[in-house]
Order: sequence, then structure tokens, then C-alpha cells
Amino acid sequence: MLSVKIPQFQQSLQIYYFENVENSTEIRTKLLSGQDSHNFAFVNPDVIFSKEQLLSACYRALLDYNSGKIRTRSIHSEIIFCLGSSGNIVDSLTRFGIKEDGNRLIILKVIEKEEDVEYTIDEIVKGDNKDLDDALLRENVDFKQMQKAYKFQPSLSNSAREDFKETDWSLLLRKTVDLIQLRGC
Amino acid sequence: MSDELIQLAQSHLQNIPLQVISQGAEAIVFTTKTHPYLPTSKDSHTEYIIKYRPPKKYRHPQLDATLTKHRTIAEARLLQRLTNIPEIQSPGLIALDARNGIIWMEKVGYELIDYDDKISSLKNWLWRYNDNQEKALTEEIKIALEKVGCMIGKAHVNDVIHGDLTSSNIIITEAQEACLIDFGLSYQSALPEDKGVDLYVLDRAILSTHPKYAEQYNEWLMAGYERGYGKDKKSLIKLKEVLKRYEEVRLRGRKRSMLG
Amino acid sequence: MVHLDLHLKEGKTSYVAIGLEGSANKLGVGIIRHFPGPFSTTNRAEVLSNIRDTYITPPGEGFLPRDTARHHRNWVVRLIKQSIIESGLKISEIDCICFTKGPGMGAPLQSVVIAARTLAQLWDLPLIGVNHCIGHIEMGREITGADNPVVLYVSGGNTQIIAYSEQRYRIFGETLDIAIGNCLDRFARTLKIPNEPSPGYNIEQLAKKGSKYIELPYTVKGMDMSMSGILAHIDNLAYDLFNNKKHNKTIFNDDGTPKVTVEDLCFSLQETLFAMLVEITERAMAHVGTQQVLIVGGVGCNERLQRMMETMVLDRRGFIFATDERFCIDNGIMIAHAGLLEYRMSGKGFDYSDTVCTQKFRTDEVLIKWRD
Repeated sequence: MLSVKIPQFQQSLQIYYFENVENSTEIRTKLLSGQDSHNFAFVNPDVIFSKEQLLSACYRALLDYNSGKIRTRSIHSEIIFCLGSSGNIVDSLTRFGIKEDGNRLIILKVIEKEEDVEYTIDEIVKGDNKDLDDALLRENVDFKQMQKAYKFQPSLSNSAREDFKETDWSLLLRKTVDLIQLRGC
Repeated sequence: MSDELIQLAQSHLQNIPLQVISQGAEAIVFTTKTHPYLPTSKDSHTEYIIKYRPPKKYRHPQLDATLTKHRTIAEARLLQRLTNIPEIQSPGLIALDARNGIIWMEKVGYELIDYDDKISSLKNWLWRYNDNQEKALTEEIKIALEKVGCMIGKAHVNDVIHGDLTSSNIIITEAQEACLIDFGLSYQSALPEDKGVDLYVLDRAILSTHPKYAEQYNEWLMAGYERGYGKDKKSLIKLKEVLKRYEEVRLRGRKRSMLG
Repeated sequence: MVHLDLHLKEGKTSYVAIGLEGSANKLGVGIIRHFPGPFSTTNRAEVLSNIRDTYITPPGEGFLPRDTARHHRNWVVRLIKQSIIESGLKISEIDCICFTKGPGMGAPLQSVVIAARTLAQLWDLPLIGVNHCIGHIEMGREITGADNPVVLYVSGGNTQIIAYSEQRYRIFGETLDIAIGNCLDRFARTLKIPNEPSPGYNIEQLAKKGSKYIELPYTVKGMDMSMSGILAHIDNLAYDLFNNKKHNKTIFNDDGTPKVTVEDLCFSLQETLFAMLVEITERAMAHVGTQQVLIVGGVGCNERLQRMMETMVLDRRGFIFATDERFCIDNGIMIAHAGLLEYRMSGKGFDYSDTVCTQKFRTDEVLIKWRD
């Protein structure tokens, strides 16, 4: 688990990464039915290639949340919405949120300052709990899904992961952070 | 005024240690070693820039809120636009709080060890050798100024007008490349007049801050500027127009002739 | 220190100049006295006479050059006579005749310069042509005591931000299209409000009763500003208001009742235009590194502008200077003052060939010999 405290805000984050997930469908159903036990942000790792991308969206979500200006129902759904570059909530939740048949999953939990939160992640997600690592994310990110989600210019679909150098990943990160921070502006 | 505004900035940036590096009419610029959302290790030396546009009491509050937000967004959008022109070096956007007039961005440049550890703005970078004619006009300086000119040329080719080209707003990176900063007055324009004025502002700025070698410096800058347009026929026509306007502006001394 | 007394006439203890101003719709005659030596708190210029007559058109109409020139021709002799009587001077005490050479409207400038040339020949006195803007600046400095301010010059015909540097009043920023006074005057015409005492004054009174702020285009580009866009926008809003264009949701509620009043429109226009001026002034202050701001020109009489500027200046721990309507509205005394400064440096008048007036006359064209 990665524990992150964003300096400006009261809340802190707990982030997990799972591979070989068996019960995506179940998680998704319980999430959509609004069950208290499933009050998390379940993110599709196919469109995540960097922790910075993820945290940049969390920052944006927390900023809006603490100003009382979120567009979705909860901080968790807001994080998923903030990962996207579009103002279309349903679109972003679909692209960045948990997939029915996904076998990889990133999970985020936002903890309020004085909150006593008790949960066991292994009861919620059945799979292999791994360290969230950029190398791993890069290896598995889906360029075509990324292009559909972010509409980069020039198109990312024309690139091959094997040819990507460090500078290419840096530029991609910069473009993504730009889109995330400027969404809706 | 300053303390009040710094406190105001701090209220929107809780737990972020702030160090003022400049206070202009528009904005206060801070540096901090704390990243807004990435875990910062205790011995990290990386600094980030926070640009804060404070509210202006003389403005109607609605107008003030709108202007602050729009200008902050416009500047961030420009940084985004420059990200998508890889040949132009610029600071990367890190975080944006448009409502409160705050932009976080990368800090570019390095500390000049032979000049009191001052930041490597073009101004400081050139001032190191101000008292030494030999060192002030070397091949190294020529190449750097041509690179600066080239970068401005590329910006203009992409219709990006900087709006405040002074030697403080141009940074020399550790790799001795040119990088433009401070896009608070920047805008998009294809007009040769606007590009000419952009160049004129730089010409005047170099003349006033580096009077001894201004003529040579401006010559090298313009040589680089022309190179920035490349060899494409259309671009060269645009270049000709801009240079023509630039000369006109220089002669007139101001943007437009007076209205009666 | 510049020596100002190279040409003091033998036997005389002071200098006297008469100034004629008529570049727009105000005809002004003023007589001023300077005492030898540098200006200081104990050595101030003396206003012997300052008379003005304004050509006022009916509501909804602006003033045309031909009619304005006629007005000036009709009034100039009267005003000059009155001025001399008021000052109690003998013609022999006058050193020079000063007139507005430009900038301004062609025909009105012409009619005044003819009067000036006539006087000069009649009384055998040297003629000094004065730049209208320099007149405002120098009078402002003298009356307020501001020694090196950033000058905001705002009137019906001009909008400039000026600072002194190396014997020139350099223009740091200006309007890219119309002057702010012109913008306000034209809106006054749209609203068909009276031009008495001045359209800008009446807009100001209406604005005082307004409270709702409507978003208008705000156009500041670096140190310059543009106002034709905001004028077009607000003219349209006024049109929609007067003609019941209910589809305009900025003006009308869903039920067809108006959301805003004419007073609100005036209020919003002032808030936006003046904010633009204050912003540019602040930039100039930072750029030049001065703590003083001087407002001159007819629009400088506006209390809201003065208050806004004061807020900004005080926030920067600076000092604000402004004159009252005797001096901020176009007048003859400022022409006499600036002309006399020029005369003291040269000791002679202009050649008649140089006394042609000109509609375009940039502030930075004049060499300010009387300052370091």
C-alpha cells in the first residue's frame, strides 16, 4: 500500500494495486449499488502509466472537494472524473473506472483527517496485492485506450511502447498532467 | 502590502513553505521545495515555482474574480500549448488552482556559481562578464544568444507572443539551452505588428540592462531569430513581414501613431 | 539643475504669458505669472486669470469640427478681453502669446491659432505653440507639486500613460483605438443624456446610482488598452434594453422584466474602464519604479476614477495627485504655463511658419528643455 499525504489538504490517501483480480464484476456491482463497504475509487490501470498522473488527478479532485465544488457524488468518483480530460462525467467514469472484466485494478481510499477507517482490502479485492510501480504501469498501459481517453496530438496509437524512450514518457506525462489540470477550464 | 498578500497566498497554500522571489504589479512568485502532490523526500533540493495572482481591491469583486481566474487559466493554457511544441523549451505545468489565482510550475535554470549563486536568467548569465569585454563577447555568448533568438523565432512562428521579453524572462538551462518563462502577458497573434513589438520590447530591454554590448547582443539575437523561422517559403515570407514591422516600430518608438 | 532665467527682460521681476486653448469643444483663455528661480513650495506660478466657455450640443449629439470652430471664433475676443481685465494687467506686461499647436480637431485648433497670431502681431509679442498634453502634464505637476509621477492623461481625445525620462515625456502605454472620454461621451449619446455640463459628468452621476455589475469585455494588452469593443458591447446592451429585446438574458429576466437599469450600465462601464486604467498605471509604476501618480485631463475629474486609483496607490504605499475641474478640464492657463516654460528657455517665439497647428502631435515629440 502506498500512503500519500497531500500537504495542503486534511485528507490522506491510501493507494493499492492488484493484479490477477478475480472479482471485478462483483466489485463493480457493489460499487454501483452504493454499498458503504465499497466507498473507494476503483481505477482502470489500462489508462494509467504513472503515479504522478494518478496523484495529479487526486490533487485536482481534493482541491475542488475542499472548495465545495466537485461535480460528481463523492470524492472517490471525483478522482476518477479528474483523471480524464473531458467534461463528460459518464465518459470519464467509464474510461477510467473499473471495468467489468478487468483483471488489474488500482484502488484509492481517501481518509478524512480524524476519521477512523477500518477495512480489509483483501476482503474487497480478490487478487495479488502488488507495489504500485511506474515501470509496471508503463509495461501494461494500453496506448489505444489512452489515446481514446486523452486524444493526444499527435496520436499515441501510432507509437509503439518498445520505441518509447525516457524523454517520450516525460513528454507524455507532461501532456497528461496539462490535460488533467486544465480540464473544464 | 507585501506581508498581507503573502499571508493571503499562504492561506490558499497551507503547509507549503513559501519563499518570495519576486513581486510584480500582477503577481507574486514564490519557490518551494514541497511538491503539491508527490511525496517530497527530506533531502530533496528540487524547487518548484508558485505564481500567485492576488485580488486587487480597487476592482469590482466580480470583475476581479473573473480576471484572476481567466488570466491564471490563460497562462496555464499557454504552458500547455508550449508543451505541444517540443522545440520550444518552457516550464511544465504542475498544478492549477485558477479560482485562487495560483499556478505551480517547474523551476528552470541553475545557480550560477560564479555569480553569487544567482539564477541563470539571461540577465544574470550575461552580467557575469559585464566588466570584462573579452569574456562578454565570446563564441559561447554568441551561440547562447543565437539559441535565445531562435527560440523566440520559433514561438513567433507558432503565433505565440511572449508579451514581456526581458533578459529576466529568458533562462539559460544547465545544458546551455534557452528557455522562456513568465507568460503572464502572453497571447496568441499572427499579426506581424505584435511580433515586431515583442522584439522591440526585447531590444529595449537588452539596451537598458546591458548597454555596453547591447548592439552586438541584439545582432546575435536577431540572427538566431531569423534561423528560428526555418527554410519553409511561407515562413520566410512571414519573417520578412515581421522584420519590416520591427524596423517601423523601432523608428516610431511606439506601437501606433497618435490619435488626434 | 536647469537654469530657467536666461532670458528675463531687464527691469522685469516676473514673466507673464497668455494662453489660448481650443483643441476640442472647450475654449479657454488663461494668464499666468512665473517668478524667477526654480519652482518650489515658496515659488509657485500665479494664476492671474483662467476663463473657459464650453460648446455644448443637444443630448444625443456630438460636437462637429465646423460648429466647434464657429463657437470658438464667436467667443475668443470676449474671453481674451475678460481675461485681461480680470488679471488687471497692461499689455506691456505680457511676455508672450501661447496657443495649442496640437493635437486636436483641425478646424477648432485653426480658429484659435488665428486669434493667437492676430494678438501676436497686434501687440508685437512672440508666439509659442504648445503641445496640449504637455500643457496638462506641466500644469498638473505645478498645481499638485508632484515632481516625478507616472502621469495618467485621460480625456475625450487622449488616453496615455506617461513618464518623464531624459528630457521627454515618454508614452509607456496608450489606447489602441479610442480615448476613454470619447468612449464615455459616445455612450452618453446612445443614452441621449444631456451634454451639460459634460456628458462624462452625467454618466458619472448615473453610475453613482447603479449597483449591479454586468460583465463587459476587458481589454488590456501589456501597457495598452482597447475600448472600441467595450463600447460596441454596451451600446448593444443599451439598445436591447430600450427596445425591449426580451431574448437578451443579460438584460431581461425570463418573465420579461428588466434585470438592469441604465444606472447599472453606466456603473458597469465605469468599473470596467477605470479598472483597465488603474491596471496599466500600476504596471507603469512598477516598471518605472515610482511611487507617485498624477491624473490629468477631463476624465481625471471623475471621483470614482480618483477613488479607484487612490486604492491602488495607497496599497503600494504611494501618493496620488489630481487637480480639480479648473485644471483637469481643458483650459487656457495650462497652455500659458507650458508655453511660458518653453519661452523662458529660448527667449524667443516661433517663426510664423512653425505656428501651423497639427491634429497629430505626439507627447514625446517635445524636447523638455526646462527639466534635467
